[in-house]
Amino acid sequence: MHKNRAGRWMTMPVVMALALVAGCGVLGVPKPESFGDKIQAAYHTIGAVRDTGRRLLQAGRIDAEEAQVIQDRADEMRAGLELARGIRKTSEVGAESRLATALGLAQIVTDCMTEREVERPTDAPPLPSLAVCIQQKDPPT
Amino acid sequence: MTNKVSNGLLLAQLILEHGTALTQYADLQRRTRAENREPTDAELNELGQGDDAKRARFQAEIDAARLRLGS
Repeated sequence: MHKNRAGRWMTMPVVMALALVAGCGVLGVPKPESFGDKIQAAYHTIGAVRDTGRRLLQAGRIDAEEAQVIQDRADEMRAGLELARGIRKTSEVGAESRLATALGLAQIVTDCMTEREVERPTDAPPLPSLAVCIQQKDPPT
Repeated sequence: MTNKVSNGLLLAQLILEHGTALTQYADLQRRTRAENREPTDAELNELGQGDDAKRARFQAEIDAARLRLGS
């Protein structure tokens, strides 16, 4: 049986970024208060998702196709973020909703990435694909 | 030994990248707070460009991994 030596440090940056967006002070960084603050934090979070995906790929925890799923979902988050910026002046509620959707997806992707960060024992059943994991946590409406 | 070195390098890379990203984000937050204003479009666009760079780097790794597998 393998011992888990890697720990969960690969997903730590994106977990911290999400905590930041949620309004928890992280390492002395100011908590987001205004919409502009939240947008800034969201850019940081999406970048952290991509960086974490890249590290998981480099470490062999995920394959190229799973990495592409992470990239595609990060693109969705980014599209939602840009839309939120665009409609902010005409609809604050709409903008907040778009932003919340993007960040909700970031949390789901992060949860699925975290499951893959830890080395699994060789006799453990395989995890479902990352795409399936995300779909299970965020089924299409 | 190889895994330890590999994990150590990844950890060092993570600390450097995350520390840099967090510092840039924190600096912008503190600047806008100190000046009592929202971030400008230009400042937000700069953050977007940062994400574009991360996207490109990630995609390059994905494409390289696919090439190694011959897919």
